[in-house]
Amino acid sequence: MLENRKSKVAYIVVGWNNKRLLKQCFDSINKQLYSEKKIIYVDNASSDGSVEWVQKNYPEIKTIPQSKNTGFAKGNNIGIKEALQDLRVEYMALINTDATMDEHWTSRIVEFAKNKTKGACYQGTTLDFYNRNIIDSTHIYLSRNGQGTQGSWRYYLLTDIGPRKIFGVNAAACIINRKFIESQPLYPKVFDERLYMYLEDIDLAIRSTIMGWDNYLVPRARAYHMGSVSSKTRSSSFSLYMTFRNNSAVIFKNLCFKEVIKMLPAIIRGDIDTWRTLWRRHQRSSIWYVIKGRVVGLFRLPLFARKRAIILRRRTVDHDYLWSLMKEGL
Amino acid sequence: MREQVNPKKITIKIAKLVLPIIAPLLRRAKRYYDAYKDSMPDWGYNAWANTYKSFCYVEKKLKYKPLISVVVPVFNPKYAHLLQAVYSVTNQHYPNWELILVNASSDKYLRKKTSEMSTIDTRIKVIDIPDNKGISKNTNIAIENSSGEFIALFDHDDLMHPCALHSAVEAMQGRKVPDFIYTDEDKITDDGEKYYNPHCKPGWSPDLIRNVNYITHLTVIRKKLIDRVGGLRSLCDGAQDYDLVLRVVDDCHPIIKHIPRILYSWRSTDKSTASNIGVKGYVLKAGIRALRDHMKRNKIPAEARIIEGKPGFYEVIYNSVDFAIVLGKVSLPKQQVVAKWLQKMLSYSNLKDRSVELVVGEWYKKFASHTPGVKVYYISDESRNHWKDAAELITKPVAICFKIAAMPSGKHDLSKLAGAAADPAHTAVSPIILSNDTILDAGIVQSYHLPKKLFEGYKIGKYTYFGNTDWVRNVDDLTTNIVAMSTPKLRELINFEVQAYSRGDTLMSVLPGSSLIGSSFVVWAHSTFDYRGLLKPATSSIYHNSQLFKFTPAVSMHVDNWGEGNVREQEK
Repeated sequence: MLENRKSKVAYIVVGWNNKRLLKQCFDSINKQLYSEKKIIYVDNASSDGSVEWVQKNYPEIKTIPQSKNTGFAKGNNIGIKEALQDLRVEYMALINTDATMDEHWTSRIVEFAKNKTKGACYQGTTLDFYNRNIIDSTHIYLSRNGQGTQGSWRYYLLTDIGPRKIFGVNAAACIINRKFIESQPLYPKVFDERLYMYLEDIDLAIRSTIMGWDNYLVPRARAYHMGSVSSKTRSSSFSLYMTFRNNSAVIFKNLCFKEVIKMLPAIIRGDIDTWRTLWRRHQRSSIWYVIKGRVVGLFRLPLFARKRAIILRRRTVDHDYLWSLMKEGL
Repeated sequence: MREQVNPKKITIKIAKLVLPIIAPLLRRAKRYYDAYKDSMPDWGYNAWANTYKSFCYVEKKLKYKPLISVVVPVFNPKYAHLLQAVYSVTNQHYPNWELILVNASSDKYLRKKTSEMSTIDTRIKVIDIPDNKGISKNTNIAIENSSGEFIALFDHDDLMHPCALHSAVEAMQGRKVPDFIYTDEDKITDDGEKYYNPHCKPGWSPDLIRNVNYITHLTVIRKKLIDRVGGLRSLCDGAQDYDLVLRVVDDCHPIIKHIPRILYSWRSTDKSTASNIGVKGYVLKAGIRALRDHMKRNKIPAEARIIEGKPGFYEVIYNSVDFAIVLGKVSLPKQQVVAKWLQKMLSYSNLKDRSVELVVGEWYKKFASHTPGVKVYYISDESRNHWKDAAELITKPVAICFKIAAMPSGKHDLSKLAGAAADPAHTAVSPIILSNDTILDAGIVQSYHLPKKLFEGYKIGKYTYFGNTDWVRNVDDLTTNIVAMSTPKLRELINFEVQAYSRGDTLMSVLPGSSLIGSSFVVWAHSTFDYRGLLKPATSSIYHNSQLFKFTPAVSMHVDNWGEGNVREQEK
């Protein structure tokens, strides 16, 4: 009986041509000590036959094949929509195909989340998959120069980090509260599908912080992440283009005029720095993609005007507090 | 024929013309620069803080896990600051806490937001009270509603280190559980960007706390003790924490423990006491009231008073007593100089209200001139045990022993020193000895198991990481340069080993293993003596015990051995 009352966790995995990674990902989910679980696999029109492979080897997993590659954002939204239909699901765990978790990961986070009534997203310490002394991320945040930044990326795991209130969570392995999803203005679409790929987790992080929700780091829950497996198959110029295209949209969508003006000099300087770095690294053709991404992003801003209006209406965060969070994201 | 121009001569001429005009300007500029340099906060600390302060050292196992109630009276802070304060508590490693916010703000928006804060965490309680009753009463309401074994006093806009509560609980492990814990602190700018002015506090110093409230934050006190003294007093609003500490220490005699780690950041907003205590006039009045009540409770025959121009600092002036001035042996070539100094000191000091006696060698007869009110006793120059003979001659209750010739800076310095030495709580009292405002001798403390002369070579009144150099200090040992002791104690000390006092450079080296162990030595900073190079000061040799660490200008901070303390000097 007690077991039934426990809130359920739905694991949502979005895959695209990652058949070789799926086994370890699903196995680590199945090994979780937290017993109440449900796994949803959304396939973004893979060509390597992963749908058939999952249906054959893991018949208990709910598989949702897509007719075309919809991107990370829409894939997750479909998974979340599916998970919400089960009313016992309290938490949604978004797991990348290239991530694995400790067996205590879910139980530790869910136990921590009990005390937090206003908690939106939680993440554990995400470590590097190959070298498990190195931190992949503890949090993400929008820094004051407008760039989405990984917290303590590539730091050594030296000391005990306490549970922290953070700016936002890394979508590699995180848990989202159902109440937060239900409070979203565009329910049940959590991620912005117009972004297609890159920075959608930053977008979610800013939105949750702005709407007065708290995100937390639960350091003793540990996950391991390989990093950028899907995009490795694409060119690096594509990721640069998408990052800079979405960057303008994310800032425009979520932040108020005062903050944008405050950040503007740093944003411009950041862009120039990126060009210089690429020039020094002899990736001079990539500079074109950065400029193109920025220009296209600026032209796409009107597409986000309605969402901006909706979000700003629900804004409750204090400006000074947001600014202080944007220093280090902690 | 025209005389040839000598360029050397011309430059000298120009220099002679220009230099006298420029020199005072340069001197003035340097003075302004020095003043500016001293007034600037030390940003060098910020670099250290940003790299090392986020480090946590958490031992995994805690056997004893008491509930700690963090008590916050909220009255009109900036909303962002309040949020940061609350989240710094929810970020604690130690899980067994509760946060109690007393919502007394007059701002409507802030009131609403504060009462919503209980949704952040289930361990947060918000108590709404209709109107502000003053900080003491608000805190008392919070304490009444708390259920913890310990109370941590926390301000509405400050920050706690994630390890703060954990370190406090770690200090409680073991058989002797302390009742009162305080930690080191630093300051943070209004916008929260920079840390500065760290304060590494000494261990429990009963005389320092009568000089300044050095224990401000973070204090963790057992709830039973606060209940026993009846909570905070609204009479002392503004210095209510000072009052509480003094009353708890006086009435309950708690076990006090100091955690030598910077675990608290005090935000210096324009309103708060951190930046400028002078803004709040009522704070001073409350502070002096708390201190006077403390003196009354302990029946200390002294009067407390505010030091002019130094808000937040108090001076304790003991009732004046009769005292004797005792001089060490003086060699033949120095006799004339010493005699001059002695006469000058006696005529300069204000000795009218008390009778004073002087104990010197027979050599002084040659130079002796009549000083009203001073009775002179002579010791034979051939005397083998100079100090023993001197101690036997003294008839007054207090003796000030001079081994060096130094002039008191103020007219009352001698009698202030004697008064402080008459207090039975003090074993020996020394003044600060200066040379051109630079400290030569301000007691001896232990740093990393080695004795160090405290603040040697520092300007008097200068800020250091260990507090200002002109604070009254309880130290581990005193040099024998100038020592004031009560006569029975001096006799006991000298009779323990007759030759030792004249040989030893410090009091502890005189009597290792005697009754001096565990006694209190005080550096009485209210009286300073200027050393003018007449007699050689004692050089230090071997000492004991632990309170403060030496501060050097090239201090670099490492956090490796945090049980020892977080500041370590770099050996060049």
